[in-house]
Amino acid sequence: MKFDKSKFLELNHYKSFLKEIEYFEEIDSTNSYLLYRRQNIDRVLVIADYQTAGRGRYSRKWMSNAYENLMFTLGLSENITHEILHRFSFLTPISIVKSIYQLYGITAEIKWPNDVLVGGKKLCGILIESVFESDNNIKLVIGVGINVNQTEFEDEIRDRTTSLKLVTNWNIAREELLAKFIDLFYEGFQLIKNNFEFIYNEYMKYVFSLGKQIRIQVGTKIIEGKFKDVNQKGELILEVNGNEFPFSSGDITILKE
Amino acid sequence: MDLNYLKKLIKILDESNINEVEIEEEGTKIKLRKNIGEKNETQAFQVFQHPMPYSYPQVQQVTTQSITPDKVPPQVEEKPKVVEEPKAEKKYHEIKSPIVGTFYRAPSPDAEPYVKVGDTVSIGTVLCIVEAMKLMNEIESDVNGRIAKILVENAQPVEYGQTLFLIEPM
Repeated sequence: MKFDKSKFLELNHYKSFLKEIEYFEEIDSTNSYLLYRRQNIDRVLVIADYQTAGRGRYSRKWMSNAYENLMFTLGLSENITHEILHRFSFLTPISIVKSIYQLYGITAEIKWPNDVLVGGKKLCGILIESVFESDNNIKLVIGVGINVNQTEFEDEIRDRTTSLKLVTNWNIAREELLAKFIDLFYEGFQLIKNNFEFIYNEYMKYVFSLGKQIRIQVGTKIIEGKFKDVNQKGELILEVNGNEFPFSSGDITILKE
Repeated sequence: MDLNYLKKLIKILDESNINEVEIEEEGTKIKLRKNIGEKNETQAFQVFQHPMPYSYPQVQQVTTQSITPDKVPPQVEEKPKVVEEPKAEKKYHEIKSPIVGTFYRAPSPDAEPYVKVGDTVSIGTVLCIVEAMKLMNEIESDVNGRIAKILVENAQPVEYGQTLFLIEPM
């Protein structure tokens, strides 16, 4: 079934938050669409039932069956400054975690920086991209892909991927999930500038594998150590031989205990 | 810049393993250099292969944090021979990092870099990505010109305001 935009609008609480909602049955990528568009992307939500060129980080493919999952991008530009940019990498996964808990009672975790896992398997991927036209003119696009009703996954990702249907056995109404996410995101968005502490503390409640031995890969470098902390800048703090090192990016793998 | 600040800096430099520090603040540029033999020089050079307030464990022999005064993080640059004069760099337009993050020259590990030295770029050409917490920031050129120098290696951490590219305007 196609995504029902009017049903979503009915369920969405804060009617004034979104300025525009665009639905595509098929599109290359919702992030790319808003990045190309450039003008008037603030508070624009783009939803697609199928992406022909869905992307993750470093141009990795994001594969998703048509009509089964939730894929959308939210554009923001007004009042976005470089100081608060990374905070959306805290707010977005928290809003997902809270949405699925409130709607379906599912407990999820956040794998640094912002993947959402259930039972150690990936449920949701987030790709946030920004373009600096100048220091005061930043375009931000927040892309989210949630595995909702898909139950079959390709061999190479099957073991580490899950969906809401696989967890609950229910057919999930995607419109309800998106409406909940947008509501919770908007509530957090109002705190992001002056009350970030609150968002940060919530993130820390859900963060996965804190205190464990991990391996982090940045470019071609691989470093192992203890996952000590995530600081308010969003950096992962790795402890190696008693010294602490911050990482602003990288792929983490949990090592066996 | 006040005298006490300078004195403090000299003292910090004196007590550290660094032999040269360059600081730019509100248009004033200060370069401090220790009067030491060649042996020390190579040592200090090795430590600062990554001109960051932090670097990866492999290269972290001496912590760079200890030379950082409380307020202003001095920009410690590797300048083994001081061949390049600031004068020469003046004709170049600097592209700086708008955030703290990791510098990537290409959209993915196996892709071609966005730009190479010698490439002509125009306003809006994507030069690189700086990633922080899986937030990919595309950095675009704000001038028309030619890439003269790329100052950061792929996948290295960069600071806010750190110069990434020198572009010769055309």
